[in-house]
Amino acid sequence: MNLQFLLGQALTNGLVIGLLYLLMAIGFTLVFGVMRIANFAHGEFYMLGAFVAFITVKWLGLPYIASVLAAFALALVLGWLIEVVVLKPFRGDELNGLIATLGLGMIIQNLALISFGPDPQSMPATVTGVFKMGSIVVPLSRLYVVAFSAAVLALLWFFLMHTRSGRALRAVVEDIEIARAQGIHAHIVYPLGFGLGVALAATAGALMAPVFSVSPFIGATPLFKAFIVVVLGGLGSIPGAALASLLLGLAESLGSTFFDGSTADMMIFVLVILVLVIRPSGLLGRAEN
Amino acid sequence: MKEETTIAAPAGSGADIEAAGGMGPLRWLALIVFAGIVAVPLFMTSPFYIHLAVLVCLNVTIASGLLMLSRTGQLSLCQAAFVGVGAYVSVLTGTHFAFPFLLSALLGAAASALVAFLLGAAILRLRGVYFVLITFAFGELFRLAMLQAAPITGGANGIAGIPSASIFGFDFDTRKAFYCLAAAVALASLAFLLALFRTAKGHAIDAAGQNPNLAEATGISVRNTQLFAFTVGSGFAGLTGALLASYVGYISPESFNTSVSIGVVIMLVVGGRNSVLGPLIGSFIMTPLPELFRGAVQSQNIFYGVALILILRFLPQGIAGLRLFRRIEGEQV
Amino acid sequence: MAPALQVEGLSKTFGGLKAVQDLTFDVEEGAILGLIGPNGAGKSTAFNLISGSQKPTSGSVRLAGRDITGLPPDRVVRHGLARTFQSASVYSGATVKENLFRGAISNIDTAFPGQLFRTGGYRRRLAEIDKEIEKVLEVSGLAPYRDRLAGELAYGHQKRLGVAIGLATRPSVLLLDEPAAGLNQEESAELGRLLKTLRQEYGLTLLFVEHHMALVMEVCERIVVLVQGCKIAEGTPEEIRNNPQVVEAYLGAPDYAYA
Repeated sequence: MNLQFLLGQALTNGLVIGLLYLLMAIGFTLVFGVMRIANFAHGEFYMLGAFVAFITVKWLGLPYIASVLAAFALALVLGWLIEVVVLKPFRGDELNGLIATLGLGMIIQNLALISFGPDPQSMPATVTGVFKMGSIVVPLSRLYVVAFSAAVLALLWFFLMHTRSGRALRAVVEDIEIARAQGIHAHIVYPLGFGLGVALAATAGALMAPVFSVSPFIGATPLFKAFIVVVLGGLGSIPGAALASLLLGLAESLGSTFFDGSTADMMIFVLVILVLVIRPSGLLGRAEN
Repeated sequence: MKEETTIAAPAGSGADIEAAGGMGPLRWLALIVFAGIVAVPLFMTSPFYIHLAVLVCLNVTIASGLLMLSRTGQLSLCQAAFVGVGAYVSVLTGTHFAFPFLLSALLGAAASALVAFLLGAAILRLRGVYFVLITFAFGELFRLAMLQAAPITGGANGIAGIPSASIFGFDFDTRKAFYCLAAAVALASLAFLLALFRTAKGHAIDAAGQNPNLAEATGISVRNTQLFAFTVGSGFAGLTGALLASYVGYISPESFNTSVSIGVVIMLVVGGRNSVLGPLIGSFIMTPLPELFRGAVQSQNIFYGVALILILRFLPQGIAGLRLFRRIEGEQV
Repeated sequence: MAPALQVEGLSKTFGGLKAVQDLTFDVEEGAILGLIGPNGAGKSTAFNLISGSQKPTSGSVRLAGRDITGLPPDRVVRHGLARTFQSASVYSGATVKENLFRGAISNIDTAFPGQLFRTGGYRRRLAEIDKEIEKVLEVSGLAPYRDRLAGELAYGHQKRLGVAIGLATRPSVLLLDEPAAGLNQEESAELGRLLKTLRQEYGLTLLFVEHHMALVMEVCERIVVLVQGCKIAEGTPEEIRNNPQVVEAYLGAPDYAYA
């Protein structure tokens, strides 16, 4: 176990975790960009995505890729419905919207508890075996996560850049004032923004389900990390989120190689506060006005 | 009610900015009813009901602390962590240095206020929602830190056998005696709020919360106002933490986790975020509620979530926003 | 004596776009100066730079000789430069009188414990402020509405309250952001009279950014014209009216109809 091996291993793990955080954080920042609501129920959609994957693979015997797609689609539909039925009155209302999502999160988590019970359940691994490159060993299941996340992010990028609804969404995220002046198709943009955002969280959950265990409580940690990422990267900035999630993934992975997990978490928190003191708008965020 | 006093006040006295209305018959009635409710636990025999009354009092103080911040237009999701800071500091100074309860409780409150001041000074210049996210993260971190610092805090096992409060030789070792202490603190915190919102500082708090741009444009620093409210409000939480620890006799990191903080937010939203009566009404309703759901924690949480969303939607000023309570508070209706 | 307000070489760039470029003008004490220009001329940016809500890229703002460049709005006010908002910005849930009291809060220097225990000094200060507020109520014509909630007032009165709140901060210079926007002809004429009264009663120096040409020509003694971030003319209303450059800029601008 030399230092080079440790570092290499940490960097690879960091990349895997970083991509996961990126999926969470982009969804979160998308929802915030469109609705001006910090979605505290975001972690619960991660949890739902994991359960969808668990159920479709273990109970229905569907192939893994189908389960990821199912998680994405179900979360999109559910998110759309929730936006229209529950969150519509809170569009643009930062404080009340945020509190409403706290309530939403409680509802979703406890419904899951009633349906599935509190115990962690494990899902069969999608693939077994490892990938070796020199002295670095990566389980293939984690490489799957990397490949899938990259694919989802590429699709998202394509959607945002090259489709009409995607461009409309991006216009709202980038400058709500200008978008408002040009007219927002509110009946599409808001539900789509929320639905897509939480669907990304669900995808992250589905991707991680075979790697970690599945329980109603698993949403809390990814939510926490998404917060750190968006604060660090600058809320509403997608490039900022990308940079910050990779940095966070690497820092955590390195940190937990040399310290234990909680110590690494605490050090990262202090680091985030320091970054904010020096750069109040985050690494790549735009300064207000 | 307000109108009458405004006309009656001699011009140039400044009295009408200060006063929140005179004592009309409705307010006398409300005061009598309130005094009655405060006195009831003294005549109760069921230890369980007295226990609930104690918890209501502690929650009133915690929620009052958060109310100040909420009226500046800001929200904290780590109020429980500040209760925890106060609890741990008071317990540790009490056991390690054998400080008397009063001193360690005040130290606990001061420690919470200091931590809040440092945290607030660093992050309150960021725009609103960042603050909420960071407080959420801080709440989690406090829990992790207490778990980590096991040699001092006992880690997940917590600290048990905390002695009951004793002030100037008087032991608050029975439920009823402790109720008197908790009720006195809760009443003092309410009195403080009532007095605060009549001072210029109180008006600055409301100004910052209701129209931050205008407040800034008239020389009120929104950031400093929020920092003041966050610091003092967390001090309230810290003091309550010291009381809570001495009452329950046991603390652990889980007593102060984020769901407890969210519980305080729910209390405030249900009771009313813009009224001094809000924390009172909120704690009074939400504290005994788990008893209705005995054993069904999940249905209880779903009920909380639904209630939260419905109240935000249909009664954004909370129950204190109802006409009756607004008249009691002395607002123009 | 230094002019009440000196703006020198003020510039603001937004990512390569020059919103305001090398803006220089003085406002003498007790003068009323209008800052006009077609839409997008950088008036609002200039306004924000002077009042502190945005930081200039370069240049300086001096208030009675004292440098206040880049100070945040709440500090700028304490130096004696107050601003009003384009839309009616009031505390709608508070009474008119409470609105004015909040405007005057920055003049209370009693520390919080003193306020809580109502020391003699604090009470005296409150009484002083109360007198000032009474005067503001009288001068602004809002006295009959003192106990009404600000949100219940008619729009014209809300805008007037906005000016009155600015007045309650005890400014030496008052910046008004399109005070006539949203007012009908009669209301804006009334506003013009109010502004003149204010100068008389308080010896105020007024600077306002305005779209409404009639009001500007009627009230201002001097006018600065901004086009595409640059000052193209400065002078008396008469001079401005006859300045071919100004006429051209306005004729060339699509929003001439509003002007």
